[in-house]
Amino acid sequence: MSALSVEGLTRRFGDLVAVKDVTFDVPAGGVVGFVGPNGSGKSTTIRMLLGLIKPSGGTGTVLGEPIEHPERFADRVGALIESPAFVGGLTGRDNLRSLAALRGLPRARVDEVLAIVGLAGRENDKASTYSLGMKQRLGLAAALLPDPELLVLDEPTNGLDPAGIVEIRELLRSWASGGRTVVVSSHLLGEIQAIVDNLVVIRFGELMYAGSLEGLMAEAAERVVAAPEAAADMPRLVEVVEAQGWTCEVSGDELIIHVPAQQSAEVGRVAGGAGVTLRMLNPEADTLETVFLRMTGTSDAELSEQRRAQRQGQGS
Amino acid sequence: MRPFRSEFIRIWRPAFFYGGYGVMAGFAALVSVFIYTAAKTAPAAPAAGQGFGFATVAQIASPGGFLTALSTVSGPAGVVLLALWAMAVATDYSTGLIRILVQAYPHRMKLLGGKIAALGAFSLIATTITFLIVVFLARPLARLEGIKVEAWRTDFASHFLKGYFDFTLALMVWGLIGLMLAVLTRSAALAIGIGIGYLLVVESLIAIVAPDAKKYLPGGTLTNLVSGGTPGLSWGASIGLVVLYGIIAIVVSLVVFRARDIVA
Repeated sequence: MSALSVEGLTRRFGDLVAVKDVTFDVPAGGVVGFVGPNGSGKSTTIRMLLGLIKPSGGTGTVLGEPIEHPERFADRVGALIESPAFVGGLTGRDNLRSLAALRGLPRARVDEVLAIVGLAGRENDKASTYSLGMKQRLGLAAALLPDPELLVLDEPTNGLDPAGIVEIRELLRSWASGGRTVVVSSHLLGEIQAIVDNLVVIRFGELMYAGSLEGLMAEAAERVVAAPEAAADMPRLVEVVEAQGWTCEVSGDELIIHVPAQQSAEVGRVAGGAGVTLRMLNPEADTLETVFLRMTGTSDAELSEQRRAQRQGQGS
Repeated sequence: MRPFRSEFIRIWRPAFFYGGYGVMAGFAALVSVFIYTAAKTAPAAPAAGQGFGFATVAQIASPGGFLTALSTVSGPAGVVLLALWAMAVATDYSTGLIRILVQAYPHRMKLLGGKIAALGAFSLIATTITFLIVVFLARPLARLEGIKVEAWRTDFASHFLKGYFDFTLALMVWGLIGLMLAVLTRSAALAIGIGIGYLLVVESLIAIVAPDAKKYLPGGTLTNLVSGGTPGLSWGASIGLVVLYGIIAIVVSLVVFRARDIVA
């Protein structure tokens, strides 16, 4: 069964098409990364899936139930959408008690989730006194309240210290390992790469990729970077590398050789055979960030400019 | 029931305690003291036309006179409840809590219904406290000012119950108007500003331009009801209009809340 499935999902805000004819399917179980540049339509898509926003077109299901009837799946879904939101004048516990009452859950569940997210001991302090990281934990606790089959989290590690990030990452992995699905929307691609099994990539409201992380990373370019110990040996190194039929380029005192990373040992042997001693030999591969930027654009500023041009094109 | 319990936990906090019960109780005590101490010296309201006046000794000493301060208290108390209801709704939008609530409980009509019920229960306690302060302060204040209160014994229970009913109903509708404005504007500041601005400024201007129309407008009708009706608009007609305004506020709030996207 699919955890999430959408077909032709579209949402317009006036002239702006925030989400355009998006179709994807997320299998149940595991961690799914939901990524895209700022303003790409991630939050709009999530809100449509959770019944907060009505689609302008298209259909979708969450845990097998149509998104037009969120009441059929709400008890099985926990969500932290954008920033955590609470009543500052209430304690962390009372905030959760209020949400537990809304979901018809026993008070004991509040203590359970407080312990899971590591807030036990501070639960009787007012939420307004919490640090950003603690508020994030409280938001996560609220999302975990219904012991959800599907957990939707927007920037779950925002504001957490490094230890907290590792802790939450492990929590999400263990949560997903039990057959449950975690959807993580984040702009921290290194963070996403460390935990996701599948990815959905959106740009300007259009789907760029939906599938496994492995499938996307298959498009990642690999290279070997070598540097001769003596700068005078660079021409000789270039000569022997090109003689192997490999393409390369000199970058400062380094030579970038466009071969699979696993061929780094062979590069070392070729250099040694030619009498060139290397002080550095590094196999490198594109990170998810590099692949993502190649797919979506280079920067927010550039994307904003492209978005503006796109809107002008639609308007003309 | 779930939305009611959830909302009640959220509003049972110091800001609502002191901002609701405390301020309303304070107003009730302050206005009562002012009404009784000013009765002998301050001018009465003009018989016709615009102008502000105070309760006279004769009015206070008449049957049901122990509730004289109530109509004056109802204005500021109503504004407090309008602001509290508006804050309770608009804060959900400004903090983004509405996202969590609607995701957790997508039955929007029931969700808002629970909020109305919880705020109604909170307001019932507030109006009861305020009403009782007005009643309990009446006798000692009248004694201090040397006003005879023997006539208060005449139909005391019916005056008491009718006064309590009118006051509570009027204040509930003040709250519902705050709710409607907050659902429409999704901003506490805008909702409170529009509500108070309309009731205190716009209606006053309308009263100058069209004096006969004022008694049918929300603010005029609410004050009229707590005053027990006037020759221009009977008590029964006042109740009917107030209930109508309350129903309009509820229906508009439910329809808008159900249809609107949650983009907060």
